[in-house]
Amino acid sequence: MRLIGLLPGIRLDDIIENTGFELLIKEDLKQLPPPTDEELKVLREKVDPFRIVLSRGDKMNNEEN
Amino acid sequence: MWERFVMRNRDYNIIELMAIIAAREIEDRAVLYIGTGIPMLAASLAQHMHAPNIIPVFEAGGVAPQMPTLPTSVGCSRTTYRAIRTCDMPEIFEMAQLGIAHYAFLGGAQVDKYRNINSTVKGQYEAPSVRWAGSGGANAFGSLCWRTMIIINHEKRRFIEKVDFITTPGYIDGPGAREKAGLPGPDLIGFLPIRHCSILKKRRRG
Repeated sequence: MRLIGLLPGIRLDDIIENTGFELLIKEDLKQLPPPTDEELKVLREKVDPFRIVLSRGDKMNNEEN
Repeated sequence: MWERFVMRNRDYNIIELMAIIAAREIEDRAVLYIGTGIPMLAASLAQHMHAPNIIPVFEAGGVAPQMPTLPTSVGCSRTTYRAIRTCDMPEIFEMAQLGIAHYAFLGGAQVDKYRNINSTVKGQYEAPSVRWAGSGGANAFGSLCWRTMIIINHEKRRFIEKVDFITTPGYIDGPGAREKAGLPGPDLIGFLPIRHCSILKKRRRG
């Protein structure tokens, strides 16, 4: 499996540390752009307004805090 | 890793981030075989944003529905809202066998370096310590679609050397094994084998 990009806020070391095998890593690693306001607005207001699935992420936040 | 992520990103949570990143990968007019949860969020978001003509397919029989409201599972009635067809499960898999399915869009519990996914058991099959809900459509989707997108939380216990059980074959045990098994591979059309949207959560336990 080859790593080709990093999500916003995540460093390469974090990925390597959290992978249980030796990862192939692309030379010019992409830094993926963070969510835009429009994407977040559509996701929250149109796609999942009752937060049926999205609320799982809130729980993850709370667990850690 | 996850703690740092939370500190830096108060304005969206991890599920929102994963869904948005995955949605960006979806091309308009693609035929997508979709599993429950984050894949549905991503497909629905793409349908609202840049890809209004995608064809979402659900293993319980919904073909190309509109998704103004998020389906709660692959068998939810919302997977058939204004659908162009509703059929049965074998027919869905037959369509994948015909080679018309561009993407499988799956979750899972474990993934290994050859991109095999396990969503069936933890431990030995005969005496598992955990029995998950797999396979469902996960084997047929991942075997037969041209390209597979997988969304799994990026944790050391999930990204492992060898999965306990192969629910969805990737490259099985190395180069050439997928072709030898007669499965269509991403190599045929020059796509990357995995678009790895995985991520970034560290639990205190385990």
